[in-house]
Amino acid sequence: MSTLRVIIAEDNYLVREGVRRLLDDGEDVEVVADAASAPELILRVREHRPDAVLTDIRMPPDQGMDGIEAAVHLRQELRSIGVVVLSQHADAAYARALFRHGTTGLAYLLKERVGDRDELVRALSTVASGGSVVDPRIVDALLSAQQHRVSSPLQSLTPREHDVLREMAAGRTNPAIARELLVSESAVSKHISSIFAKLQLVEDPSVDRRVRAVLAYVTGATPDQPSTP
Amino acid sequence: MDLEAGVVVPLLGWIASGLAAMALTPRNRTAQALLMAGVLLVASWLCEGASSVSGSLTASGAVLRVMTDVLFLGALASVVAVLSTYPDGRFDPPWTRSVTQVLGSLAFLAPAAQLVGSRELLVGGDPTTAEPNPLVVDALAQVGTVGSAIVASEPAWLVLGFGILGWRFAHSSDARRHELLLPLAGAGLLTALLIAIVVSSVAETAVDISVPLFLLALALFPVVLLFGISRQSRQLAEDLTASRARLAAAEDKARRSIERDLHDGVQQQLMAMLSLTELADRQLQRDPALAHVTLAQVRNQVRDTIEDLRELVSGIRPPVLADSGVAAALESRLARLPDGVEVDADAARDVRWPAGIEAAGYFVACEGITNALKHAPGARVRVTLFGDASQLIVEVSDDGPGIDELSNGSGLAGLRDRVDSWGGTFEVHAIAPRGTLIRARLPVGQIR
Repeated sequence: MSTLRVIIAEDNYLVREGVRRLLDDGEDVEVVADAASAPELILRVREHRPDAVLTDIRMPPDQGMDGIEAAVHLRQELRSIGVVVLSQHADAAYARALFRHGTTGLAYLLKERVGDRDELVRALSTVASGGSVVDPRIVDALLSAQQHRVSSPLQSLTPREHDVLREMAAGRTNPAIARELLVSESAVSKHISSIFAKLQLVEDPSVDRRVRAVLAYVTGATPDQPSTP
Repeated sequence: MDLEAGVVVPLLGWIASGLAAMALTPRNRTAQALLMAGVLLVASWLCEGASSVSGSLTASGAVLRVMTDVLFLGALASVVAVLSTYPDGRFDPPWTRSVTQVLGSLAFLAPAAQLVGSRELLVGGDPTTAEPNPLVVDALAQVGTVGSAIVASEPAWLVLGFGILGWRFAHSSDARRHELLLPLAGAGLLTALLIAIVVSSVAETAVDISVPLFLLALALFPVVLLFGISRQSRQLAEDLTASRARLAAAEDKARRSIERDLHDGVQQQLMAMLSLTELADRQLQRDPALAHVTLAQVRNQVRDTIEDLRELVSGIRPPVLADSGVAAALESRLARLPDGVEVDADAARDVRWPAGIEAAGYFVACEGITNALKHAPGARVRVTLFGDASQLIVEVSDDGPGIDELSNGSGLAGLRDRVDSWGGTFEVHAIAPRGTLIRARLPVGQIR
């Protein structure tokens, strides 16, 4: 496996150093630079052309959604770079803002995942190859936000179909969903067909494109064109 | 009795009451309209005096006569405004604003129509003062007729004002009726005296008693209004003091609760992790496998602490509120609530209001939901957000058993204070067949 070249953006020195040391502690990742603000991140990326970026959501100058704006900007400027956004917020609105132009090459993880190196590295290599990752907590938030709306087709889903949809959006394959929910694989396939029919989505056997379709649905983004990474 | 002197007394009454009302509550529209009425009445009276010279009219004499009517009708329109907004300066019901605006326009347009269209001009509606109009344009005779008819309808304007007052009285809450009672009685007295004068002048008896009485009542009427306006401003000041005290107490309570959550929660969790890391350090020497287990515990505790802190921050002021607006913040909040709560915020999704307005709207919605779930467990609760750049409206309705007796409950009183402090309105209604609706209207730029 080739080494993943990564840039970290985080304004808190302690967290930045902690994450840098954690990621550097292995042959599979090389942290080529770090940045303490959104504008600095964009400069460093242009300079080093990394495979993926790991950025905090809340950074100078605005201390609001600078990380998201930087991620969207980077994806538009340099299509080959994947961006993992780390957030303290378990709110649907931030994920919706991040995925507003599509989900390709983007990930939204809760910040406490910095305690899990394997998961961070998995997310970084997924986005580097054009995939998407969403924290299961955020998928829950997105589904719930949809569900509380006055008229949402999600309300027509059965509780079981909801469980399947959540697992699907988190990027699980059919066998993995079957194991997680303790049902047969054929039952999962049936649920998935029913979900796609109710939400009027085009069914797709590829897990990654399926994730994108579901995310596009729950975030209200326009679905990505199938990309060629 | 000298009628001229008799006119001066009511004029003084209007001017003095208007000035006093403006001094008390300069931003109250009722006070402004009262002063306006006084000023226009005096100006009209002076204008009338100047235009009463007999003999053929010059152009400037004609303009003076018309000006008299403009000023007098303007004063009547102001009186209608006073009676529509008394005592707090709000047009109630809202359509009275349009009525006042129409009268204000007519006060200018009708005499202007006379100036160009009427063959003869009068002073104060007295036919004996008729003089040929030097500015008349024959082609506009019909315009002049309409103008004259409107000017001649002067008494009807006052009747309209009193009628509005009566309508408001009939359609008001008990508290508002109490406020409107005095001016309504005054208006009734004035009407009765006016009828007495008309009747006695037709019957040619006892005019000399009715007229001074009428003038006295006319002079006292604005004083009655002034009394109501000043009582209203005193009441407002008392309400403000009380609500400020309640807001301060609520803030203090909130601070204490945050302090408790931080001290008893997060700080204690950090202490526990401190001793666990110390333990892991010691275990590392003699049993690395055990140290591994302890460190896993530390990691779990850190995750729990982060989660607690996130909940705590959301309770203080959710970051999503500032970052994405009130609709998004509300949806996030709902994620932690039962399925029976639904939100209709599509109309508010792309609008942003000043931060304080959004925070107030958000807390009204959250508290409204909490209240509904508390008093109507299992009820369906629906939150609706809408508005435009000038206001944010939040509605929370449920299909519970109704909360009549709770409309003064502390939860809702806190919300009312919060909405009041932004100059908004807060209402609680029973809805048919069952349920309760609370509605908060938060106007932009009306902070008290």
